Amino acid sequence: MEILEKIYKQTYEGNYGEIKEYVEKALSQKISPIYILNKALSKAMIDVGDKFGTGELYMPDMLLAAKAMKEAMQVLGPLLKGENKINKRGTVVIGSVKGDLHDIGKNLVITMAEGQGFNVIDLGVDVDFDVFVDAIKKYNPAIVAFSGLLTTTLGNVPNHIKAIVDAGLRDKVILAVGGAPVTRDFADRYNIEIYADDASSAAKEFIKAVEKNK
Amino acid sequence: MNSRQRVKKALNHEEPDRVPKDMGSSNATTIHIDAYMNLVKYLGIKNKDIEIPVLDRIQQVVLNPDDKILKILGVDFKPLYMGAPDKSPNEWDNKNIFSDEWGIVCEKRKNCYYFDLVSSMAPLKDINTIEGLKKYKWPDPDDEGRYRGIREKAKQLYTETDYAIVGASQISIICWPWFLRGFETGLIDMITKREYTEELIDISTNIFLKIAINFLKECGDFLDVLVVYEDDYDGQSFPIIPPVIWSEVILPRMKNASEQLKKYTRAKLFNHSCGNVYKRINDLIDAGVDILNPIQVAAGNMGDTKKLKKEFGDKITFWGGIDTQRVLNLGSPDDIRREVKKRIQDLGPNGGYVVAAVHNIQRDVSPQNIIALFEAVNEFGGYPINL
Repeated sequence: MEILEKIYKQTYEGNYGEIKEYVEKALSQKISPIYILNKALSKAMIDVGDKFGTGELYMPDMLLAAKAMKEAMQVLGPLLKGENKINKRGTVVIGSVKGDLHDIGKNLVITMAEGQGFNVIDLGVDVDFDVFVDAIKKYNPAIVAFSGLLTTTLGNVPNHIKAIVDAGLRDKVILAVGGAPVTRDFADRYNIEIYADDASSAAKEFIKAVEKNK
Repeated sequence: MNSRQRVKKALNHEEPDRVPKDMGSSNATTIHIDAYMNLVKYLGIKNKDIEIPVLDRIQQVVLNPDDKILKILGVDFKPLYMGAPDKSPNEWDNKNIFSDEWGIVCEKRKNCYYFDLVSSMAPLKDINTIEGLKKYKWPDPDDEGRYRGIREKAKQLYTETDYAIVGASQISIICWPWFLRGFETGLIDMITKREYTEELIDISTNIFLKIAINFLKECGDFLDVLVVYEDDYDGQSFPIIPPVIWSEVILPRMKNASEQLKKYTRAKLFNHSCGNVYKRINDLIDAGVDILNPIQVAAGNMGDTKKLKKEFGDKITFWGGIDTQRVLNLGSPDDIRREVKKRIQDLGPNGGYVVAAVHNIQRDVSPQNIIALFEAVNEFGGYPINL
């Protein structure tokens, strides 16, 4: 299917200007939205993510591909929600920890996770303890993900966890943490199940974790 | 041997009496106000007996650590900053938001320890053409506020103290377009709007360079170090900028700037770039950089300080290297002694090393750990290094 290859290429190269037209063209050829998502958009995002991981592509390439994917999802998103067959892997609640305003990495994780069929609730930046707790009650997520770029505000991660424990919700969710200064050791110290080095691996770890929990 | 003599030797890759120590020489090597005040209290010094701290507002770090503290820690450097331009910043919301002379907006939110860039209010976010850039109201490099009294201050530091003098005149070649355009837009521009990005870089870099030259005309003869290049090329794990931007856009401009600056001073040129910059060190040396900071040892290959010294140690001075992400903040005084010992062992021989924290000492570092850092230099940093 030539059109899917074109959408893949547009996403991979981050040509966000025309991608909507290509998606619409694919839909007019009766290709299903989930098929377009899986075979073109997600595939491109995974490939860009992998090349980023090996140092063949750079931050702006990732941002451009994510931008193209977001554009495409403006057309596909509403159709996917109506589609029963969609392979929803579950919900991820994500936010930058209290006191932290950085969100470029977090937003990339969101794009990658959505591409993998997760329903992602973005709580934004500088998210307070009770906001995470309320979101868990409201959305019943499989995964709660904390993002942090500052060593100082990462000190809030245990406080976030404590709020979740105090609300009696710790057993209901899998926790994830990421951000430049975060390490596997850091995640282990607070018994956080998921840690990943970059956005692409984060989405892969999300899948592994929900599969394991099934 | 006094501080200035010690530093001169070290920066010329000779061995002085001990490895020089820094805290406070620039806004990239100083200390967060909370950690500073904790240290003052711990040392039993009364607040009224220290100079009133002057802050780098965005980072909330102290620009003028008091002499008493510097003497106790054995710091060898004193900073020389320019004044604020006479055109003052715009402030609102009870001084929690301000825009600087470039129009860049920063905000300190309630739960945050620093001011952060407000990308949604980036001054050039809607200016998408080169014509638009040319019409923008840029800062005036000749604004006299910056240079008032600088020569006298420099002379005073030179004649009345033994400290090595570190002047600061920032040139940020690639970060500035990100701040002016908003982070994501600025990053993407590097690929999608190359001509525009180069024009923007030329405008901002030329302003920075003009300011630096004006500054050096006042005080260049008194300086030992010029803290000048401040840019981020790499993240902790991955590079940020594409190679073509590095080789075709940044390096030629940096080379040109270094050549110009070296006409006005014999000070060593200091480059502050966080992240894993290992692959760029040779290029930085070629572009006229004498000193590399902060040696972010938690980032990729930068932790192998032995290798860094072996490959580049005779051509560039390493400044920093004491981990702030895991050791200074989370370690015990003994962990810090071990870290300092290792870095001195690796980087100290033949001079060319200044001990300092990786970037500014953050607010979560205890006074005990700060003291352990500087005492460990006394213990392990004497030449000849024999550890």
